Amino acid sequence: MTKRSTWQTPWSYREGWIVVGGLAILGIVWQAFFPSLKAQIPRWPGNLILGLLFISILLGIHFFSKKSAFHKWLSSVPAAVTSAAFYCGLAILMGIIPQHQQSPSLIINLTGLNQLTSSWLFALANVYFLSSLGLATLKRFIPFKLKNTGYILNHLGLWIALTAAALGSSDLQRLSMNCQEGQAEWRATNQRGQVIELPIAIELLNFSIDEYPPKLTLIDNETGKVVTEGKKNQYFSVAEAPFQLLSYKVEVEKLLGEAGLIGNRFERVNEIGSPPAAQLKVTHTKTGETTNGWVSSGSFRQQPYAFKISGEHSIVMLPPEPQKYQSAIRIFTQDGQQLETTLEVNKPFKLGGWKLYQLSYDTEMGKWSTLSVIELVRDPWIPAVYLGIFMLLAGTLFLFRDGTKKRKEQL
Amino acid sequence: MGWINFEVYVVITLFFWLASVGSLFLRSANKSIQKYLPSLLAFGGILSLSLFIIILWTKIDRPPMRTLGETRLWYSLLLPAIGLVSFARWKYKWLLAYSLFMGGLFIVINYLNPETHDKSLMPALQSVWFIPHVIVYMFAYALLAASSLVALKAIYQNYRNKDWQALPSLADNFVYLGFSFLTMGLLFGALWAKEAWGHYWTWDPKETWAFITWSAYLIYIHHRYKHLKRNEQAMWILLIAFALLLVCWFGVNYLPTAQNSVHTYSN
Repeated sequence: MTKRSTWQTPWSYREGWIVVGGLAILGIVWQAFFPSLKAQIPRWPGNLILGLLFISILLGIHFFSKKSAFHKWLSSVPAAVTSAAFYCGLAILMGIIPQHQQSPSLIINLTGLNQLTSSWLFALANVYFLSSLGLATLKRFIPFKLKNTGYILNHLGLWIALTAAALGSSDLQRLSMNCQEGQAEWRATNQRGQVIELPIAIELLNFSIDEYPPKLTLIDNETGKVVTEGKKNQYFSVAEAPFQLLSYKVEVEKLLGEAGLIGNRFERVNEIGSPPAAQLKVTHTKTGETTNGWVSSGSFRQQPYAFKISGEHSIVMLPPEPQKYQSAIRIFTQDGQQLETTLEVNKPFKLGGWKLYQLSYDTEMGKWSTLSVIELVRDPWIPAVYLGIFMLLAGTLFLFRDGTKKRKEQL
Repeated sequence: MGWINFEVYVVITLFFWLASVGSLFLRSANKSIQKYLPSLLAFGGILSLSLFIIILWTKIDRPPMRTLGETRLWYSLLLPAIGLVSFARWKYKWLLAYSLFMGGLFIVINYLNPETHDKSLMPALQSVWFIPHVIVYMFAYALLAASSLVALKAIYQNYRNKDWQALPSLADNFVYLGFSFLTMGLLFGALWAKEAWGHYWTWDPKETWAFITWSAYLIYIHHRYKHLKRNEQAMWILLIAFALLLVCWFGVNYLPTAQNSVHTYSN
């Protein structure tokens, strides 16, 4: 190694690191001095042309400069390792510096490290990595040999997934639509906050939430903090009663799903914003003393209601957590069709090139929310990304089988 | 963990594993005792911990895979299991001993940081992807932990000028298997994210660190492929890769980026 001077062929790690350093400086300078020249992939069909151009260049290098030192190096392990390390290093920066928000540091803002994925630094790292990966793939792909199947699945799969994801990023549309119960909506907001009118309309028929039974916990009367913090049983669901909270035995005598405070007790009511309430019997296990009282989680309409069980402690009810939330919707398409469906988290609905997701709701109103936020996502490049992902998944099976075997052959 | 006495299972499991480690270094006249007793005892501990996980799973009506503590539980189960299988295969006493020690350590951490295992499972986690995603990941983490134990041993042996030439290829066995699982976990996560959050990759802090970890092991594999003789360098890469893995698993929560993560499921 020491005998070879830098840039003397065959190139290896030293040249790889120099390329990384050069690209890093280029990326930072470009970002800082020409901020208006954004690292942006053009939209369809510009991204397709760019992709084809990239493939042609790689094929050109593969076929026409097969013996060049540059080609040999770019498709070699040293280039793979240095480009992956470059990518990995940028990801570490991304993992430490909060993204998509102004940083207190001027340098970070200037160099685009607070929005790395759209910086020149990232774009150049991508080009280096994908060029190296692409050429390495071509070397084993053409001419094709059956024994290289695992290699090709892993390398080509990764190349396809990453390239398609990068090129497709400009065609990705993610819109959120605020739907009010009983109203048809056709306007949605994109990620830059612009309002977009869609060729379809969505009417929210009904929004509903299933909740878990509320939990009870013990707080300190003075500090208001949870006493059992860090201890084994911090809280219990009312469904698990009777249970032991520190030295208190807690029994639920009455549980009301929707209740209102009347005097100093709760009664079942049928009004919007009526929170759950429970009547508890609390026994101090050491003294045997028994007290009886009510707790309620409160809601956007009502104050929470605590049960003071001693000078020190009170029992409080935590707001119930959602188990499931869903929107029954009616969709009006451009050609006058109507269809009804239900959206739920993890159960999106496919419509043409779009996918509809249950995103959120008015969390302050909780289960009485009449607002449902629906996300509409259009990602035309996804079949290509999935092709890459499934090739990689198939490739892992080869890695299982061949990984250890190949070692032995080489030793 | 209100309904089940975790302590009982901790004590039983630790007892079995301590006895297993002890019996590894026991010199007995009876050959078959020396051969099978450590494995049998290690298996006893694994069985006891499995029993706890099964009971916990049925009691809380959801897979116990939501919180950090719950993932540590799986790690404590899988790492000793891997240690046991490799002991049966390659007869490395120290590897079984280390993996039992690591498994035991994680149980003790869980015992010292008690959690309330409640039944709630946020809608985003209610998916067929939940179990395969987590299990495959924990399996990968345990295998890669085993590989870093080997790397540590190799570096230590090297420091003491003792022979360690057989160790890197043992590390490779764990890394190839572990990396396959790591890749699956990552891709399952991407496919799931598309269904749950609308996009397969958003550079969420947890995703970013998962990518960092994945690329670190990718670098190791390529380094080994080309430079099979540069063992020492390889072992150091392996240790760094595992440090990055630990950041991905625990460390992320303490980084300034964590506040933006959608991957926080503890209370």
